Amino acid sequence: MTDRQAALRDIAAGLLGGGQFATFIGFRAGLDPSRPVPHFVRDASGAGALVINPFCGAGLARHVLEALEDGPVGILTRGCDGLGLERLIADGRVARERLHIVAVACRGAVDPARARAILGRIPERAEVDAQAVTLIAGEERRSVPRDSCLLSRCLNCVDPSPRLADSWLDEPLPAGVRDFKAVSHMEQQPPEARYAFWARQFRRCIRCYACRNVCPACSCRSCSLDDPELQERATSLADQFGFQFTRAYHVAGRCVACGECQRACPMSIPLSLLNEKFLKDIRDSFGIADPHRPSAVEPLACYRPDDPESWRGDAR
Amino acid sequence: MNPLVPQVATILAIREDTPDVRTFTVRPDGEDFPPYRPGQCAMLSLFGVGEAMISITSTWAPETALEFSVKRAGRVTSALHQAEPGHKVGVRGPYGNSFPVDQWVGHDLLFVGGGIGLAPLRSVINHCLGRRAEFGRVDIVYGARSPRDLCFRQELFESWPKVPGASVQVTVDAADAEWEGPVALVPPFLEQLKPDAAGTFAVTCGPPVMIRYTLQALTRLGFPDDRVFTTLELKMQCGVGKCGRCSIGPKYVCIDGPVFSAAELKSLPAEY
Amino acid sequence: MTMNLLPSERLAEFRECLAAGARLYGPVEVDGIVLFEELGGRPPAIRPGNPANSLKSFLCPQTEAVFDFEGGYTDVALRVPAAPTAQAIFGVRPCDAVALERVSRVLLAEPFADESYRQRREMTTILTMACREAGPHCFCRSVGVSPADGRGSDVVLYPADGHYLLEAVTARGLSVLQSAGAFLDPARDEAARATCQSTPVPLIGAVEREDLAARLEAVALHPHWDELARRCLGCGACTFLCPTCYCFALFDTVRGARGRRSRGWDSCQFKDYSLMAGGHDPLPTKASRIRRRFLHKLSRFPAVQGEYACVGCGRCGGTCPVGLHLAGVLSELEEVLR
Repeated sequence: MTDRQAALRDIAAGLLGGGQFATFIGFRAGLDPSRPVPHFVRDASGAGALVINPFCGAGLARHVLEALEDGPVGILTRGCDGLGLERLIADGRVARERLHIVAVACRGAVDPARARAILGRIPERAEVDAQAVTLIAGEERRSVPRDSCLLSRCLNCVDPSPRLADSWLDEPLPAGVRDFKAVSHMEQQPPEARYAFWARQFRRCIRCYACRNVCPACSCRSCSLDDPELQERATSLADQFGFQFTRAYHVAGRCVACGECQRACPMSIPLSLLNEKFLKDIRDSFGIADPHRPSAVEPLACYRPDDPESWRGDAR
Repeated sequence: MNPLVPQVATILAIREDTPDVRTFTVRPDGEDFPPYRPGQCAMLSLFGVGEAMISITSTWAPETALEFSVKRAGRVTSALHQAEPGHKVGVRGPYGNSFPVDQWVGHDLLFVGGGIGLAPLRSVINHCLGRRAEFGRVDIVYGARSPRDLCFRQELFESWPKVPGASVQVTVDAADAEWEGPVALVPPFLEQLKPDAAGTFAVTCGPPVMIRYTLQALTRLGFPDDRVFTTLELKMQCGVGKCGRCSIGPKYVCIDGPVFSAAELKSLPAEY
Repeated sequence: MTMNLLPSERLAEFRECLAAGARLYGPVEVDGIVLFEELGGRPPAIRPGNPANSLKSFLCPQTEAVFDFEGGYTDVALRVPAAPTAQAIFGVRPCDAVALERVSRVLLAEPFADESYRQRREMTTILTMACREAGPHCFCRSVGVSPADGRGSDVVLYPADGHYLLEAVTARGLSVLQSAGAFLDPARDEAARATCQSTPVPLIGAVEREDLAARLEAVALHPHWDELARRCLGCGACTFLCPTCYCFALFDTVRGARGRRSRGWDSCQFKDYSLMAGGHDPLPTKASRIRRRFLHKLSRFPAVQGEYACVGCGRCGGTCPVGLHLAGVLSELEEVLR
């Protein structure tokens, strides 16, 4: 057992044993070793089931919303989870003092489907460093480039460690700067090519709303998508564009670029690319270097009296 | 023929029963609506709004129009309350099983209704009273939130009490200045009345919580589960046992119900 | 039943022959995932396991018109859509074809047979590719389905080295083989079928079938459902991708004096699935909705139909964002039961 995993179990057991915390959110083993699942430990004796390994892929932040209904929550937190928690706190959905954040540095999570395709069988373990991923099954060890088998949501990550923490399992890794390479590439395509690309992507949307339900920025108590008036699901490609744009606009300016929407999408629609476009525009229009990190000044969430455009949009 | 396509029908008349219940008289424009049995339902719809499963409160006779008593609750029923005579609606059905009236022949009958739950009971009460000689006593116990929420006043206070061997007891949850009758919730009111369970079939319908407590009261009064019937309402989309919405365990309310005996209900998971 | 051999190099011609009288669908790779789509001359991507979407995309589409209407309050005319045209789906896995047979039990049940499904089913030819290798999430054998299952198929192709053994399962399948006679060799290869019949399905151990329904009903109120509910996100991915989930909703859309009543997939995992206008909800918690999904598939559907409403296709295993899939949940419940 790794040191981090042992420390995690100790902290979780301590928090739950102290009686103040109702739930500890982490991961435990799934049906196969490459697919751990989010786990909700409810008492100290259950902490031994917690695992940390490079297959822990799901985002955990959104789960605190429901867990907090039972009382304060301890949560294993990587950089992406941390930004999600910051989002929920900034949006007034979660009180910081009801969380105990157990921070861990993350170098990326392995996509179990890609790993299995590479190895030809289910990997039992993996090691991830800054250069490569090593997949291990039985006696076999195979090192492959990071971008061949990490989750797509991890490939552009510049936040390996959370900014908020109550305990650390290891040393934080330094944050980076987003380069928006994929968005820049898309922006250079002619409009017809961009339309054809998105039409192909959106056409296969099944409206399962996994993208909404995993998103730490999409946490409204009641969502207009559940309104029976709006039940018309995907009757045309135009409807699909309408839904996808509405979703993207609703999180624009609050998206933390965790990429959970894209990971959760069962139809592999590159939702992050749409979100990144908003982030890049916010960076370029408002001069904010890291627009995915919640901050005191969020350009799309505030209004200044000296704004060059008036509130109603009529030119001054 | 696609069972999801309704007949276009015309609203012939609208009667305001209570502040939130209206009775619509409806007749299909084309072919007659098929014959139906007491307890069956139909999908009533407004084009552009949607559909709702409503119990047919009229009793079938050749060439008579359908009657639906509709409480204003959601989107479709609110829109229906805005409709006027002459407006078009969609109607499809009849759906579901019906009250096993023939099984009750020769027995006393006890009907226990609450609120708009009297709508499906009205159909079976009128059906049984139309075959008066085949049954023993017919006792009707009914309650609503307040005097102004009492449905089917004409039948409750005029026609049913005049039928030989029939009785009507009406209660309200909360009285107003003019009300001189009993003030009680239906289940305790029913227990006070102490109906004789021997040889009697009981039939109840009302809001889900009222049904639950009424079934318990009937058990305490000595009614065996196989002589107690209720009619359930769950959210429905298709009405024809396909869309999955109204399933309770292996049963669908739309085709296996809506009428269930208390004995059948006890064999199902408590998901209603 | 009629059997023929099709040399591997003539498979493309065989497909062209299918496409002559019908729209031809099959698995293709799009943006890195395999989907059933109109083939349009593209070679099918036949991989172990299943495409992301199931055949219900073509037999009970995501949304379809029930009828169009036109008029005002006092004058309405209805128009039903044109009948569907012929389609053939190539490269279906046996589990998906069995799923059609399961869904048909409900949708075609009289006296209210689902007319649009019936018409589509009658216009659809299913050409199944039996499995020589299971996908990573497959567990068909656990629910009584075999990698060489012919139920629900018109023709089954059993792949062998250098050729396919073709078996016509239905009269429609027989006419397919007759129309493709020029490519076929009347020789037989029983070994091709036997190989598929014995294809190993590694996940089989996850599900213990003995008395499954009774054992599940016995834990219907176990607190483990609350544990599952904590993890579940309440999305509809599992149900929308599931080949045996058939729930749908009806909804009206209006543009001026014209409108349409449509039907579209709905999911029992959505929070307002069973919420009634008056506020009553028989499935008020996520736990109650998850329980309903699993018990419907493994206990309540079988109680009426005699078969599981699960064919072990593995889609929920591959796609649930939090790993809350049938094989996994059953193995968790087994642990709880012990």
